[in-house]
Amino acid sequence: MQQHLEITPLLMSWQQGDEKALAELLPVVYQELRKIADSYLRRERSDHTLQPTALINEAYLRLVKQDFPEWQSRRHFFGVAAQLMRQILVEHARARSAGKRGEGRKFSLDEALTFSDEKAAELVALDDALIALAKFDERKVRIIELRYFGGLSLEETAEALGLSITTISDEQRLARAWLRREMEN
Amino acid sequence: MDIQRWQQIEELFRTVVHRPANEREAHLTQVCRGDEELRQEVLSLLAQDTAEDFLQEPIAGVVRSLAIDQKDDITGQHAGPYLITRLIGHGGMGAVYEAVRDDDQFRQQVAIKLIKRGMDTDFVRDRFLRERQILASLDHPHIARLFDGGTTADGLPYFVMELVTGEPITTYCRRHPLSLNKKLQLFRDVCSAVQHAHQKLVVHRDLKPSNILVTAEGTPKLLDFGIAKLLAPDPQEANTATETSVRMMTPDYASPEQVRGGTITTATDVYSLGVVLYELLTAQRPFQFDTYSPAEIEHIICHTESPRPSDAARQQTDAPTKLARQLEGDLDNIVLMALRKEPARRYQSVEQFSEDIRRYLEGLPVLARKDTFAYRASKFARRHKAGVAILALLLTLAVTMTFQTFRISQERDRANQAAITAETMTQSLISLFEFADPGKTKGNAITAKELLDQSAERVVRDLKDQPMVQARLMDTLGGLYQRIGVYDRAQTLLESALNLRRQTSNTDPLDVAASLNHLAELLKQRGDFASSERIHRESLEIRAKLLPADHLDMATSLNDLGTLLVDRNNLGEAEPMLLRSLEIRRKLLGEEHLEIVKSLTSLGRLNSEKGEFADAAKLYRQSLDLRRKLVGSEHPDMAISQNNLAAMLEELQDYDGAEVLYREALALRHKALGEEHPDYAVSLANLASVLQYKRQFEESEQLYRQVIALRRKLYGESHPRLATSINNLGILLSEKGDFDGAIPLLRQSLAMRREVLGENHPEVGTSTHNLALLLYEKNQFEEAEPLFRQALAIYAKSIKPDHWLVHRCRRNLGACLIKLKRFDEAEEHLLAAHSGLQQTRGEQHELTRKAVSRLIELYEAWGKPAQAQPYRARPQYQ
Repeated sequence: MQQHLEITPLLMSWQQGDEKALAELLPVVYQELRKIADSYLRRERSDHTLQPTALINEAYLRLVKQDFPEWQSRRHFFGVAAQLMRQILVEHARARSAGKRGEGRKFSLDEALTFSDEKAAELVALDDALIALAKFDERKVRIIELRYFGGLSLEETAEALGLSITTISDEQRLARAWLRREMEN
Repeated sequence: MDIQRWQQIEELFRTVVHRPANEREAHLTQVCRGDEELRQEVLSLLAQDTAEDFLQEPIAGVVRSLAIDQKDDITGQHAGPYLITRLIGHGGMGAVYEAVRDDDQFRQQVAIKLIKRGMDTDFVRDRFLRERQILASLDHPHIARLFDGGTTADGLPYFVMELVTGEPITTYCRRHPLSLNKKLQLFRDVCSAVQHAHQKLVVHRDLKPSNILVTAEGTPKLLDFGIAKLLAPDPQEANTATETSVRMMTPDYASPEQVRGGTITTATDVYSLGVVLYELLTAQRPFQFDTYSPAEIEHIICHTESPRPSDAARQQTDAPTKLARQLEGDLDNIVLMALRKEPARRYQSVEQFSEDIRRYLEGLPVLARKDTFAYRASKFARRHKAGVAILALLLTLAVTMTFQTFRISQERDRANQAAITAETMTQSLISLFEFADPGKTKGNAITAKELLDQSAERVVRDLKDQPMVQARLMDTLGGLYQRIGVYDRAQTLLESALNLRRQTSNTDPLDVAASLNHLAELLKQRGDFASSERIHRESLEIRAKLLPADHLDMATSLNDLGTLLVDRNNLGEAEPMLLRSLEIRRKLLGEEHLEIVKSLTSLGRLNSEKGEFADAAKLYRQSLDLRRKLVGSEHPDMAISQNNLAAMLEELQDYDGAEVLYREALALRHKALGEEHPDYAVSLANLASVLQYKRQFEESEQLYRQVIALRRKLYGESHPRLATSINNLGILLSEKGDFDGAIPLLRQSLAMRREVLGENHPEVGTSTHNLALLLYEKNQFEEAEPLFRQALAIYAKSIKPDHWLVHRCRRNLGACLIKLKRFDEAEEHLLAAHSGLQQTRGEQHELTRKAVSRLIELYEAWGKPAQAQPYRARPQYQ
């Protein structure tokens, strides 16, 4: 499969606002992320706590040919991948926690999670809160996605969204507080 | 949550959170001024802002949770009555399994296609169901048959097909020694399957060997209609998943229209079948890709001709020459006809394609013909006007140089040198003409660039021991590359010429000055103004030292450097130079000469940059009148002068005057150049723009659409001028109030400009600004603000800080900040913008007046009406 063919133009069209392009991208990126995850598992390295950014970066390098190292398309790619990461993990979590909503939740999402029911429930709660936040502040959701699900640094997030680091840092702080409160309620 | 309220909360949170914990409450109570609800809200958020690392680190453990899914191998499970026995293959969103019908006494084996778990988005589901629907409509012995369909217990849709065990048609042909005729028969079977699909209005769009399996019995079966398209006039189908999904296919079998994202028709399948046939006959594909980068793919598929199949066969070391002889002639023509770039020039249908093969097999004359010489020649001339012009130019040059040989023959050495120059030139020309002969180019379309590459290579290679001749030719070729816009090569050559001249001991320093002048003009065109200025000054210095004060080369240097200084906004130094240049030209050439037209035009530009639009208009009018006198009112160059003047009238807001001139220019170009010339497009666009000012939206919109269609045709999908037209149409729609129509156009234009102009080009800044403005108009201030800032950042890197574009952008950023209630920041930007626009555009200009009304708006909103007063007092608001 010559997959590198479609990635860059699809990223471009998606960036131009073509939602269909995103729908086209998702399966390809999804497939690649899973392939890499699988190969990590099979390598039997205790890398299960591998950060999402490493995973996404590897997917990017594999999907987009090396001779197209435009930082711009890399930036778009991380945008897609972070969104996708959220979608995959949450879908998975929702499947796990179906019927168990509303139980006590703790906020220790950062442990190596293998999707215990409890953690799945937390993730679902986070997703619900993000959906609520998106209704009036979409940008903060993007920031959380890039930082938490995409594993981007503050600097990279600032670059990806075209905002200053201070802005990102401030907005993230408020977003966290709001989300945490929303999840507790 | 109310967005305004949220902004208030955010603002407070941001200021308070950075204070020491013990001061927070007191500060908050103070700033909330009794709004208890607000205070409580911020307090409750602050309470959550603890050191705990909630959402601080990226989510971990993703590997396992992602990989867990990987184990969803469903072998051994049931889909309806079918027992899944083995995974056959999988793609991005679906997987194909081998299965048996459990309750079937014959236990017939089938293939089952399922959507993968987690991939069942609406989009994937729709496409999957469409594939099933398409398969259901097909019934042909060479197409894998649909048996059944359903939904698994988990709700994933699936369908059941005939299980095809076989190998890709290319592998099959390699492993079975089929005769040429047998291969052609087999291929015709495939054609019959595709033809059947076409009759059912289905275009496959992904024909390639791995989708054409041949069973052990030698029966071909067509598979995988996963990205097939229904041609049916189903309005829902018409616009979905055509543009993007074609890009999912492998480029090896993709047609030009697929690569470009053009209209897909049955001719698309004809093309892909042509590639398959090519591969069956020659064991090679018509095109080889090195990097598979999108640019390479598009270039190769859309612009290069494949080698003839017989040539391809001949090149293979182990291939018998007998094969090449068999392919030569009819089969070459048949394959190449299927592979033509323009869909309309291929076979009209797969049936016609297949029929032509039958005629070949039966020894009858075939339909396919080589492209005629006349066709190729006209295509060459049409596509490569620049190339033809260059040939003419080189010819003139050679003649001039030969003439010079006689003139300077008293100096023997120089005469010899010149003679050699002329001779080399002539030889070079001859080889160029040879190169232009389609018969000798193995079918490759020749471009102007290739013509030049060819001669540049020879100049570099063959003239090493004659540095002066080499330098002269490099200088000429550099200029030609510049004309066709290949600036990298132009620069390399001009620099090499300069270095050669500098290194050669007996070089005339005036040659060095000429080289410097040419290089500086190129750098000016490339936008490297600083280097251009340095080099222009060096050239001028040499000329000033060696030439009499009144010399035409001096005039050239002064005019060129002067216009550059205008670009660099050094107007004070530019003015005397341009005036002096005009003076020399008047003295030596008289009042009536095209060089005078040039000088007047330069001075017009100077005045326009100074903001003295009335003076500029006067100069442009003189230049226009003189040009008319010299070349007549019918000459196409008249349009340049008309456009310059019209642009000034536009600045002076004399839109009626501008419209008249634009219409004259348009008529002129229509007559001289026809309706498909880039300059005609420019004139259409100019007229559209002035009509937009006059708010005659209907005609303006129609003209813009005409320009866009024409530029697409002229430049393809990605070009700065196309981006400009799309941008302008977007602005027009937004002026009409159609924001939803405008936004996608502006995004498209922005992306295109980024792609072709780079991240830091002023037009990218302007596009970004325009998009921001539109979002502002739609009250999406949050999104607009960062875009305005981004535009400013781009301007900061690309244009001078007091350009009116910068001021306009700051003014609009200010307006946006008012809405965001960040009054301090808004004031800073608005004041700067106002004084900048006042200086560059004048008090009365619309841009300035808008800045004034923004300032009034600011102080009103801020609750400082007193400060608004002085602005209100300005004459235009009385």
